[in-house]
Amino acid sequence: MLSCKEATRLVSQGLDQQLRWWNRLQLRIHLLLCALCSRTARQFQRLRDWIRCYAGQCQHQPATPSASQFQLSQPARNRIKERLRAETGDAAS
Amino acid sequence: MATEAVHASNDPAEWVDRYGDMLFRVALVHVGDREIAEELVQETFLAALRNRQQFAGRSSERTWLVAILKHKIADHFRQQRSAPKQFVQAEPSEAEDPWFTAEGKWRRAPAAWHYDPVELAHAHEFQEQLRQCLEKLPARQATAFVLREVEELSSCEVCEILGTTPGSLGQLLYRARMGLRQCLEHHWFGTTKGE
Repeated sequence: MLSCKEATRLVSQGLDQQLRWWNRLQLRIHLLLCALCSRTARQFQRLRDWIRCYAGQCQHQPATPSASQFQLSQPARNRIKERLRAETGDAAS
Repeated sequence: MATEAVHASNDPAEWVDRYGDMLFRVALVHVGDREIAEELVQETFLAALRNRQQFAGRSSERTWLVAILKHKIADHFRQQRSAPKQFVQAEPSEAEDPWFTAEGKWRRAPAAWHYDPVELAHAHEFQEQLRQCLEKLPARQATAFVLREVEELSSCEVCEILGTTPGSLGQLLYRARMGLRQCLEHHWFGTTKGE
């Protein structure tokens, strides 16, 4: 039987890669029996959803204006492009 | 990877659309200030432009740019004469596990979060709290989390960027998720009492 520490590690690992069948089975049994680890597994998934939403990659709805807080602003984007083009021009001349 | 190497010789302004957001996010979780983060992204692209002949295509273009950004972040903190967020900080040892006992049991039960997940995802104040929690993480954890969860890079590519092994990356991501969970529980969901 997995400990809660081992189970939460496997939950995290499972978000990044396919777990081995034996680990999947162990984890499934643990999560069926342990409400706390099961809750943590749902919260890890929520963190993923929320951070993607914050970055303007919402699955549910169009990104809100505040989503741009975690993106390069349009003025900064334009400014950097201009700077790079100027630099390229300087180098060419 | 070969395809990306070819991009290094294309219009550098295209880099901004392709990599600007990613570099900005990595910079922001280090410095915590939008303007400084934007400045660091600009300096990164300029340095890449000036040194692009040296880009040999041994790594991906993304890895190369993040490596330059890491130097720019270090330079920034050196100029500020302040301690950088510990990019090479040693991770806490197993003996210091804040969440579990030596037997692997929860020290403190994780509290239930009562929320409407969709509504919360769009709440500006909540997003601000999420950002603050992300900035509180050690830099390597925050960077690993952003590259994996936001940029959706493969574990292999995140390992290459961070110069770490898959096992260590798993540990970084685990600690990032646990740290963020705990921070939100403490600062947003309003309980550290557990159940």
